[in-house]
Amino acid sequence: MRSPAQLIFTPILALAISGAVALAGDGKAPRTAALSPESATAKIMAGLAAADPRVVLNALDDLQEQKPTATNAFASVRKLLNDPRPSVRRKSARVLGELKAPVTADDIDAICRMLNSFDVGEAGDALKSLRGLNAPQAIPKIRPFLQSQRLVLVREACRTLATLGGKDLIPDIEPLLKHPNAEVRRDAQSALTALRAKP
Amino acid sequence: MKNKLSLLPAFCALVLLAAGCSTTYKPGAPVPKLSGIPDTIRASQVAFASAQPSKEKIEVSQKGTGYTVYGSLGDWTDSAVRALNRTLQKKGSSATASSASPIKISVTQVTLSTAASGWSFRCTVVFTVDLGDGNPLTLGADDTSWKWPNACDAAIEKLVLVTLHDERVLKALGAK
Repeated sequence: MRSPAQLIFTPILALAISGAVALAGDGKAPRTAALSPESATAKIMAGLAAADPRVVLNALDDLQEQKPTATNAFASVRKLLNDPRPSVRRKSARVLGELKAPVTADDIDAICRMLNSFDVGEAGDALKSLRGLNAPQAIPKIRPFLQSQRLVLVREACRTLATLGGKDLIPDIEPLLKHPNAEVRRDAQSALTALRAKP
Repeated sequence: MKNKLSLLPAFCALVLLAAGCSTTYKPGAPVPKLSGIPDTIRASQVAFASAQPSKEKIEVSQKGTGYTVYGSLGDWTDSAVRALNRTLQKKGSSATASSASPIKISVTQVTLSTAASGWSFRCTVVFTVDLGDGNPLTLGADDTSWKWPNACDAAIEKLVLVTLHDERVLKALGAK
């Protein structure tokens, strides 16, 4: 037998939980899933040009899920690499990297400028992005991060150099095997294994 | 008389309902951690000044925010300039707001939107920096918080960091 309090609060609790689950899922659900490919692309393109950063970030998320091959979509994202809004700039770099999009030397320069940011998160995103892009010209700008005071950037630099670089980077990474931080040592070891396996 | 007074709470509630949740916000002028500011600006004799004359009230909150927040670009620029000059002074610079040929700052866009699937707020500020060389820079700063006033104040703090880490601004400050 349920008490009156249970009878009242159980449905309220159930409603609150279902509401919270719906809200939490809102950001993850594909916003363009029900649309035709043309309408979805048009909606994404409109979103990329929005003034509200949230709308632009949602459009970039959708673009990442769709994995488009249309070059005009990539061109719009590449323009955002020079956007003054940090969150938009960072996300556009990550999306281009994830999609291994074709980029120009100017785009690589724009991403390398993000490496100089005071914000560790932005520099980290730039390193992750460069990993997905074919950008060996960025190696000289990435190499100094192996001596960074920020452990997260040292680890990201190891991973990125392992992807972009060749065997000539092995002497730069080997000293990190004696780094006091175990995670840095592990990433350095993985990077060395990857570089040694390269022709 | 008693009957009339008893209607007062209901009247107040009606006024509050009609007004909704809108507010006009002018952010503070927070100074970031001084360890995060380049030491070279100590020697600077140049200060910052506002170049944003607009005092027009604009809505800064975006769709889905759940609040209606207004602000004026002039007020936001004033806060940014105050934060920049306070940071210079705390870092040891002798520059004051009345210094000759100041670097002119103008906040051109402020947006308050949702972040983290609606669980927090992101405030984004886009601003220009006129170094007097005819090529104004357009920079941006943003930050998030689960309280929107905190997100706005943190965005101003980030604006200071972005400005004082820009190589061109440092050069104009005579610090490089």
